[in-house]
Amino acid sequence: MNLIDAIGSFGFSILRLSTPIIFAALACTVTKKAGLLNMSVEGMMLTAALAGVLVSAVTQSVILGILGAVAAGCAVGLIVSTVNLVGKSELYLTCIAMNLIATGGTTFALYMITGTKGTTFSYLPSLAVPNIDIPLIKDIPLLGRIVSGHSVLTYLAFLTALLTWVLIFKTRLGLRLRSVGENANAAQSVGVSVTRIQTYAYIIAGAIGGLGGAFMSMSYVSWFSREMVAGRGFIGLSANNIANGNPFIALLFSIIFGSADATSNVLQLTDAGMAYFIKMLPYVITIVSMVIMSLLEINRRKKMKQQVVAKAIAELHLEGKDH
Amino acid sequence: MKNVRRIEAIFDFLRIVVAFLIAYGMVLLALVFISKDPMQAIYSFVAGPFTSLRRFGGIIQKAVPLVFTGLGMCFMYSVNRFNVSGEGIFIMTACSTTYLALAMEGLGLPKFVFIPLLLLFAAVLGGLLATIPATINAKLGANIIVSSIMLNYILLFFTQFVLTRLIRDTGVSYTASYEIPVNSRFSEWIPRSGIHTGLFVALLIYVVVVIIFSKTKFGFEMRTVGNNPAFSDNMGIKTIAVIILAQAIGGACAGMGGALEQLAMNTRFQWTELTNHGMNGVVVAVLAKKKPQYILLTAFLMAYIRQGAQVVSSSTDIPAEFITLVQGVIIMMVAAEAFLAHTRNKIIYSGALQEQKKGGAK
Repeated sequence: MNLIDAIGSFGFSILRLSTPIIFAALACTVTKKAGLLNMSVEGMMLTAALAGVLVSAVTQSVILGILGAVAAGCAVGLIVSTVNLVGKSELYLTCIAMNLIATGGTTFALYMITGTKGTTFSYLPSLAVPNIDIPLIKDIPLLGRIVSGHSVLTYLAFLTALLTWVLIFKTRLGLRLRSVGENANAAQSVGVSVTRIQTYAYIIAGAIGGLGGAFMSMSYVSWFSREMVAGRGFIGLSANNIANGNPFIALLFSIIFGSADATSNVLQLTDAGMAYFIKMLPYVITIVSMVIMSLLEINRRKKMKQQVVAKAIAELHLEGKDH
Repeated sequence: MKNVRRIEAIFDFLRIVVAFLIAYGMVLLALVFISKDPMQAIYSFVAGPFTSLRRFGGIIQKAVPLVFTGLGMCFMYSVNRFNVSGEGIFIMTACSTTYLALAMEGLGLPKFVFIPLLLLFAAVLGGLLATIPATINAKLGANIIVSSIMLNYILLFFTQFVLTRLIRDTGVSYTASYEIPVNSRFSEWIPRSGIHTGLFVALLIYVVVVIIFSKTKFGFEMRTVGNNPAFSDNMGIKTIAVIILAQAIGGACAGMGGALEQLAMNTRFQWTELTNHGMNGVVVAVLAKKKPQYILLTAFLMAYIRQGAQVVSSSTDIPAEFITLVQGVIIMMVAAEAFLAHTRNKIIYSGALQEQKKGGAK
């Protein structure tokens, strides 16, 4: 019984820890499909986390808090895309700058509002997103323990994966998004405004990243503390990188990386060294998978080239026979 | 044509100055609005770093690591590869140098042998580490930004693994390694200033890098590859080898910086997070227009405003974090090609018009 309990709570913490990574990965997926690397997801989440706390503390409404977080994420996305597209700067530099601004700005704002540099805990009466039990499933012994009782935002994360897939593959905007990502010049030539589509992509990514930020400060914990996103945006980025723009594979890898996080948390109490070793694994997996994917891609291109050459030779032979 | 090039060069410089001034103005404005005693805050920020020897020493202390990581980024930029592994390499070499110094404590090597040996080790290690993302990018075409950021986190957690498993001093209440041996530490150069002799190593490396860039065949090859890889291929330059080697040297710079920072500034290895030295190196390199000869200047400027922020936060009611915000704004402006581009184009255009008129008069 004890073992089942332990497994149950471990499974529960996997889903809990995966949630921000899922949001981050999906935020990257949307821009990736539009051909852009979203390194600013870290800043989106951090800004949104603070906004969520502030808005919910002022309005005393959870929903407005979440909306505030989403709006803040969108604002960050809009700033990044505007600076990048209008200012003609290199995207990665804009993103790095944005992350710096988010890190410095949130800490600074935190200090100006509460007078402390650390956390809003006990300074601001911010709210938490409620956890919900799923009827029926919650009574199933192990499964109920793992799947039920999560934050609304955790369930929303899975729903967002589905919605992202619908957005990308089943809507007009998604089609344009993909066409811009595949070949911006071709898209432009048939009248798709690349600038506009990429801006949309960044704003949507901001909204999704904003939900991730809201999870951090209104669910994972119920306060904001400085640099609380702590690299989760980058883990999401790598999950998406492995998935290569597929929302469901991004979801899967987010959960795999979330389990590494959960394992590391468990180990932290008994064997801190090993806990750090486990934390390394998601990144190692990412680099290895990048190598493998690149090799496959090179192989595929080589094969394609060979086929084209073989076909051309065959055609030449045919022509030769004709004469 | 010459005229246009001159105007462009002037505007490049002007852009940086204007961006800096705007950011500086923002800080001053912010200080006026939020501080209870704005004059004191502004004075602390602008003049504070020069009010005592120790504070001035703080600028130099902060500038030294930025020189290393900034030079490192110049190598990455010279071959057009945004390899940001300097961040992870910095903490990794600090940690592994600590490990090595502790392991070799018993040998009792004299300082002038021990320290160069440790720095050399750090440079080699940094070079090898930077080669990882460089190689998978150059040979396989994988995204170097993603892979180098991943590498940074791998290295961070690896150092924490080493710290807790191998070199942790359980005798102290906080997480830190054993004290590194005395004969591996840089000494203070000017008493009570905090300026350490590592400064000279930084200056030496700076000179070497500038020479590599401007006077050697390899420097020429790097620039050619960076400007036009197809052309360099046709010229008979081994493009891929140059790309990887340049990044390896860049990694070596960052690696040496990490080791030096550890041996000069800390008696124990106790970093538990990425230190941002690598990212600040990016800032310094971008401000220097990716040219190593300006790194000394931009590293000093960056260290000056950081030191100013520190003085402000210690002598007034404002947290030092606002400087991170300002840094972000500076990069955003400097990175934007369009920033001031309109004015530049107008001046070039009117210059060309005048030239045409002159030509017509003849």
